[in-house]
Amino acid sequence: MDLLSKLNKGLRFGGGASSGTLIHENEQAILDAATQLLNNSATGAQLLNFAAQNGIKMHVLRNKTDIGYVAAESMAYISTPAGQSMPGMRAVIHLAGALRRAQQETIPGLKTPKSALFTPKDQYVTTMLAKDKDVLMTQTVVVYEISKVNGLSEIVDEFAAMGYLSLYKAHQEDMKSQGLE
Amino acid sequence: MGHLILGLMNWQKLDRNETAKIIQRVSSTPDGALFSITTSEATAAHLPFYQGFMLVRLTNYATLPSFTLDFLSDGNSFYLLDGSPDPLQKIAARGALNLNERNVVEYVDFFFKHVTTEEGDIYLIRDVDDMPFMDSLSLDQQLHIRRAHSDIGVAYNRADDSFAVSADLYFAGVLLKATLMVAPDGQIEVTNHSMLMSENTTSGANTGLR
Repeated sequence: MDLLSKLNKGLRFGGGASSGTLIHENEQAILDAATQLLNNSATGAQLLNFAAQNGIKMHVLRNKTDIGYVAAESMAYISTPAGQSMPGMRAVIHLAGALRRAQQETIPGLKTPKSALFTPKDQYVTTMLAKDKDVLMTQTVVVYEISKVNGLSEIVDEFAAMGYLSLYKAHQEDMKSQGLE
Repeated sequence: MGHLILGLMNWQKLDRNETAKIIQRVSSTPDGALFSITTSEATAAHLPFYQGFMLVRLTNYATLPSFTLDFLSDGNSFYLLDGSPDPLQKIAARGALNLNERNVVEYVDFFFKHVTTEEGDIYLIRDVDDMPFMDSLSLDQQLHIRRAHSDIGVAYNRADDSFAVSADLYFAGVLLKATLMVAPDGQIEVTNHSMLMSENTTSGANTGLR
């Protein structure tokens, strides 16, 4: 398909994908693909075990942006545009991030501060930065494990498209220097 | 032409009662509500091309990261802007779309900000300095783009009540000059284009594409 056809396909009315709910029409297929991939990573499998043991529900919402987040300790969401099938490689990265954010609530030092109003500013900022860094590092490890252990290099391309190729390579170098690759 | 820039829209914060009503209407999922009144904020903005519908933004500051959903609403119905063109089609089908030569560019900009494709977002280039990757280009490349860039043009076609918008777009790693046909029902079709710069000449740029 040429550029113009791809462009017009995305703009065309009449897809009819939008439903009356917030839930994505392909939720089950997206979650099935993402959890299957996540199980191929030791870190990912541990996150899924955590979710199962703690009753954390996973959902896919319709939204313009691809993102993973936690709305409450027991709800992990990823989102993707309606009418599109979120690639499994992308879904697994966001799902790993969302589940890790849920898991952080059980980890001292990574639990979300109650409120910026009642927490010293420095402490609040330090904790929030640590949480973001921890999520990103978890995603990097999951991408590395899925890529190396299972030979699925497409997930590295997806991580690179998110802007994290250098982080992936740094982790890869770490593994090499430790004789783990 | 004095176009309103959507990023500078006049957002108005809604009061707690109004926010609570919206949350009750829109945020339910099978496992609970996505937004709570204590941690969420609702804002609304007027859109010049819609009559009776406003853009409503609901943000939950308690989620990590904070989470936002945008809707088009007349106060009773809420259409989630979900990245597909469907909500815009539905609003137009209700007779709320009122396009003219003064607001059609705003509509195109709004459309591209809220509809995405499998290949990523489409950027309407109104100002070359606001292009997503401009800073990462060489000075020669920046000069090339500035010379090739032209202001957005609008022509009305009385025969079918459509508009032809000529503009520069950035899509899928390509900067292109295109004509966008905007039908009376709000559907947009790109009818012709010429390439100004491709991904190969912008290597290393953070294009923001997925």
